[in-house]
Amino acid sequence: MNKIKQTLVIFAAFFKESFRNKLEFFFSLGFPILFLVMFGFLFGGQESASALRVGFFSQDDSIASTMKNLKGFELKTYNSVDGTLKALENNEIELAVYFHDEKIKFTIKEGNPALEGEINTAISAIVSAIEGKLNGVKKIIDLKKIPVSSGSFITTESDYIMSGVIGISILSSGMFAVISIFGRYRKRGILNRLRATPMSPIAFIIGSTLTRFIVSVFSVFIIMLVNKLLFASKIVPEFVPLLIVVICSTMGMMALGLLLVLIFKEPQSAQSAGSVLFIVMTFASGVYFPIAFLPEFMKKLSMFLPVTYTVRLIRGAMGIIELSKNEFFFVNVVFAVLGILLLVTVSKLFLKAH
Amino acid sequence: MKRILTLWKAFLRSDLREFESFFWSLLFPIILFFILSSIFGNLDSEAGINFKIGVVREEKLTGLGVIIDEVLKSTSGEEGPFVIREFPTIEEAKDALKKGSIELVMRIPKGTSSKLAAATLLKTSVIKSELEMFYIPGNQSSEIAADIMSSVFNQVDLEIAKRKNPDYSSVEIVKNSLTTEKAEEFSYVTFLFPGVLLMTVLIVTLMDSPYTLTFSRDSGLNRKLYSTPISPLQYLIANILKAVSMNILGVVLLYIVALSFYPVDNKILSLKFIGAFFFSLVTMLPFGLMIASLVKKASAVVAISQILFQTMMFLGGLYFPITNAPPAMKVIIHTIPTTYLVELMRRVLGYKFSDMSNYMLLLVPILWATGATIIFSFNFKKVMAYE
Repeated sequence: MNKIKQTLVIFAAFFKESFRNKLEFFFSLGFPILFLVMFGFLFGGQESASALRVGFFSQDDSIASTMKNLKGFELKTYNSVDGTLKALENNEIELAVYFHDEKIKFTIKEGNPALEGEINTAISAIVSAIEGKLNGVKKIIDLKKIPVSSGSFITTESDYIMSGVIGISILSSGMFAVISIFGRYRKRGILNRLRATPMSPIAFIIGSTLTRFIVSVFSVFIIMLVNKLLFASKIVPEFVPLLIVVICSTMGMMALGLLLVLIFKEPQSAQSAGSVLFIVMTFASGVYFPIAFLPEFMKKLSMFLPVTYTVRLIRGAMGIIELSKNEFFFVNVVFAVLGILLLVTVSKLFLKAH
Repeated sequence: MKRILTLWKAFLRSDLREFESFFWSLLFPIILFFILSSIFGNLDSEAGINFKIGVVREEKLTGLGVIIDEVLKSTSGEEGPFVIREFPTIEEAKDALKKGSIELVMRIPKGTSSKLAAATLLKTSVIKSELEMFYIPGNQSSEIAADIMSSVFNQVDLEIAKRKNPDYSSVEIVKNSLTTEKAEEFSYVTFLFPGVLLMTVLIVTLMDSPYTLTFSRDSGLNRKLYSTPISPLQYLIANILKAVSMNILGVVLLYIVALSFYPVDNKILSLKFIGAFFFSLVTMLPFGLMIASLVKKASAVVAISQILFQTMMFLGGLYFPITNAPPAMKVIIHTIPTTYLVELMRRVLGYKFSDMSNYMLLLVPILWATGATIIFSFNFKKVMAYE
């Protein structure tokens, strides 16, 4: 059998295994979609879900009409203080406001970091409007808030979450797969048996890793489809750059998995180290929370984590952020070169005939 | 009893030696507590967050316009959340914003100082100084930076009026919290602690327990054990005791870290709180057994457990309260037991996030536990593989 045929046979075997292995399929696709759906709905996938709702009660009609002119939140007026507080308790509003006798009472439910900024802005705007009205202050500074697209369209939070979820999916698909192939297969003696066959190591490497690219590309498109259907995403990616990013990033993540396989003799230890890295990267790579929120040491740490760059590449290819051509080229090349180098090294170590 | 204890010791020793169990049950809760408190613990204070903002000045501010400079200065550097970077043109600043090197752009156009002076002199709002702030929607840090900047500039008109008008009267502002008696008392780490505590319970009850049972059944370990004088019930009890012990070990470690390094309220040491934790553990244990009863394969158990674990964790409001979920998600939120269990623990600490009665907080988890126990009892032979 020539090398191309060998590669195709190995590829077909791994491809079938990948899609038949329900657990692997779940972690590559089901798991990221679960996160996209949960976080997308919770953190503003739809515009209406992210608007702050403010409940207001005052017996002073002029103040009530001043409040109605305020923008930036949805205002609901109530007939009593109790009614306003009850609405807050029932999660119908996020901020209750009561004005009486030159006193403004704000009541909130604390603990939601996602709403802190919006609530503080609303409080400040309300105080400013009411105090301004009482003192006859004329508005002489107008601060216009102008949205700018960082890529090719105006994004929503679900677009950011989706691109982060894709980064994590590629990490999972690349890193854990090679730990399984080169760690577990070696431990079980499967690689030794393969060495006894006339199989070419290169054919094995290409055949087995090609499946990972297909799994990654498949996952990316399904996740994008879910995002479009559920959150009406306006993303129209440039498919060629996106494909390059998915392939190179998968190779980069494979390199990480292979590094763990080389460091840890036991596949279980490599798997555990991979799990630890997975968690660290989920939190410190700007996947679900912006890197600006992280404490200083985690900001520095994020610069050394490959998922940080994968997520930036994906966002760039999807038009969510603007990415320089140099960064796009350099990061992709680094991922690809590292992936190839480590694949060659590992294949020489584990697959070369005695 | 002696047999159960011997088996329990062996299981516990094996779990402690295994990195996976050791990591997820003992170390992961501490890492998660550290990460979440580092990220969200000081969001409200703004002390720990720095937002890089670009400022484009198209004129040198003079007269009343200097107040804008004062505002920017007072909110940047050590005084505030912003780090200011000056740009010569709006195009360059917008370019930096798009590339992510800054989070916000402020443009002070030509004529700002003269417009401010004219508006103050004529006491009119017809003439306004129009400043522009560019941000990226969807990008959380850019949106928050814009929110903070808006709040700051809301006060500038008032500040100018105060300086001009000696009779200016400020309104009194009172901030209350529905969750705590006083708004100032809220502490994110105290809020977070019950969430992470409940997460440790979920790891043991939803992830570890059903997988161990299914794996032992599928690998034939159970049958080998039953060829000894160990009965299925003894094996199950030893397994449950091991799960409880691992959880308690993890919880003790979390308590030590939280009390030593974080300003967590001492109420977490109260008997009521500890009681609420044990109630959570006892009511969640049958849940894992129910999964093992309903799902056949170990691989499927892993997937189902993961789905339930993540759903119960995030939709249960373990790390942040869920206030604005769509209707379908609200149904799930009101169905899962973690919503009630975490609220129960938080109420003991003096926080209240929902209008559910205390009675409901106990009833719903008990109903789940009862249902799960009944399902498991009917499938006992199948789960323990001694048919």
